[in-house]
Amino acid sequence: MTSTRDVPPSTRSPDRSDGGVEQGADRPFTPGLPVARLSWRWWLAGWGCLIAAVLLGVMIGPAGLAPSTILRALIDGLPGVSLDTGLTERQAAVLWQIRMPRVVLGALVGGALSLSGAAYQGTFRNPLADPYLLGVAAGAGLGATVAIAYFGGSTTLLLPLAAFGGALVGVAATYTLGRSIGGRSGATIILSGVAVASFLTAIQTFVQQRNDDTLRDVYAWILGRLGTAGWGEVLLILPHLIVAGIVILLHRRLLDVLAVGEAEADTLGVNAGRVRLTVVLAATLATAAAVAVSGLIGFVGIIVPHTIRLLAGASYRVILPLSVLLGGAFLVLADVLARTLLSPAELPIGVVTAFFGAPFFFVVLRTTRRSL
Amino acid sequence: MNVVIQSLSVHIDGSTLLDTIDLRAEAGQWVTLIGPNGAGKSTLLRVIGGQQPATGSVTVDGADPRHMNRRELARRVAVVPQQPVVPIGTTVTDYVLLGRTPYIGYLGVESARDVAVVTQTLDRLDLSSFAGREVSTLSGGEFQRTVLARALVQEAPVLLLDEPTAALDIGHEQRVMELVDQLRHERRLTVISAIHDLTVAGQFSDHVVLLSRGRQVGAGSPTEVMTEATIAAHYGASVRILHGDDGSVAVVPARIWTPADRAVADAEQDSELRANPARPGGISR
Repeated sequence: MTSTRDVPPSTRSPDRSDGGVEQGADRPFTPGLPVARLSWRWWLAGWGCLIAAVLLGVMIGPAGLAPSTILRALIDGLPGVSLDTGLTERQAAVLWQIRMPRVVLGALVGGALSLSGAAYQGTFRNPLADPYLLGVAAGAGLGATVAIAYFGGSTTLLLPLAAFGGALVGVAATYTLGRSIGGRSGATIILSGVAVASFLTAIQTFVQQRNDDTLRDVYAWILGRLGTAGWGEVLLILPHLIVAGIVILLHRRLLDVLAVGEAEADTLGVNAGRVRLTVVLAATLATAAAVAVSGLIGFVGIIVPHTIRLLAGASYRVILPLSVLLGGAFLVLADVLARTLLSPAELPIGVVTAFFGAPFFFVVLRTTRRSL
Repeated sequence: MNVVIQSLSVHIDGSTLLDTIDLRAEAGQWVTLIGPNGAGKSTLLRVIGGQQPATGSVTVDGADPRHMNRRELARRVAVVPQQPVVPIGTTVTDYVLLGRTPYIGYLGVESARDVAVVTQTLDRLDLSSFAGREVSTLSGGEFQRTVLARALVQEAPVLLLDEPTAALDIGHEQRVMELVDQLRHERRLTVISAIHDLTVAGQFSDHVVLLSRGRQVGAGSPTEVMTEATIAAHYGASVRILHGDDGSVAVVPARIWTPADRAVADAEQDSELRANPARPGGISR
């Protein structure tokens, strides 16, 4: 069997006079068979959007730094380049210790939420699947609420760790329950996720009501924010995101195979259950890491992948890498709006993503008129 | 490559889906499973495809599909499912390329040869002009050819077809079946199909196996197996069998209530009425 791979069909066929494939073997192939690949145009567009969003993100802020100064400082920051930036020590601190980590964190969180949203949609073959499926949000919410209510955790590193732990506990409970029911279909897992989420949310609400002095902090976390970001948070989540991102991106072609369902994927030689478990674990790790530092920022994981699907194609080989770039760009821009619209006050970023994201998504949906 | 099945049984939750089945299909041969609904045709195909546990012996080219890894099995056995999932947004090219999955590394991408095989197969099945179309926009006949193309690029010597033309009109059905027949001769494919249309089964198969409630109740050439008596016994159907010169068989349903029956009934009623002319409501002639 192994040798068939390298032997052209004509030499294996006992009946060579029959035309069709046998004749075709020596013919030049139709050039440019439209295999789904990320085109260099989309690749450039994705990077262009992300870089533009990052530049905008670091240039806008109350301290009033001139864009040209910031550009010089950024170029100066490149390895092996030295420029006279003209920044005072204070200005440099604003740029490098306040704006930059916030923008970088926004890009990481946005990329992570979009990528895991796309991954969940692919593994569960459900366009409504989002990163907060499977008890992730409820578990993280409970962890964060406990940290804030009992340990005053809203300003320490304890909060992200508690949220991260809560998210993983939520998913573990969902999986354990889902498997104990015995169903191997995606629907069983999703349903047990709904049950786990309701249960954890009930506990979270109870804890919240018993500690109503911290209600405001809890709500601020639940609506999502990047305001407390520093390099510490970036370093905290970066390793998780790198591991999860690589695992998901490596499975991009297999997610296309899963699009024909578990039974057919099986006949094509793919262990759908194993692919799904691996990708879901990676997506959950990315989501938990993002939630830990940013709270619950809704909608990114649904609208970014679907917008890409509508504009650039339905293959996960296109959707996954573009989700990282455009999801990052989207959240950085949303954060710019969150901190400028009511300046000096800040809007919760989750409000911005939904307020601008929903109409934008609707426009894309209407203009492309393609089914999801 | 041959498929050999000996005393194969499938039991699920105490009920017997298949009971001591024997079947042998040689390279280049088309074997069709026929039988009424629920006879176990699809179950038997799933066993050969390695998707259904069973007791007894199954071998594909001497090896047991239940002990092969998925990739190895997918290189030997290609399946055209009864109701293939139609993925939204996927193009014909990408859909057919899925059939190359058993040749592509777990985390790898397709090689030039994979693309070449897809190109040739699209050409052969007259699908080249559809290469960029989304499969969800194809007509039934076009989609069925596309599914067949996906199975063919697996370059598996065994092709399993589960009711491949159930959703097609008679013209498209005929063209798809002729195509399968040409391809099995070109490539010496072992074709095993489940077909509910007895005429189609009788025209395209070398060998048919009649299943009824999980038991094998007939096996042989279409002429040997498909007789009026066996079809009446297992389908509860009244049919007439037409034999072609080439050994093919056409099965024509015969009305159970024929014009002759009606004439007899009418005559009986008339005589009864004549015997009772004074009855109120009786019809006088």
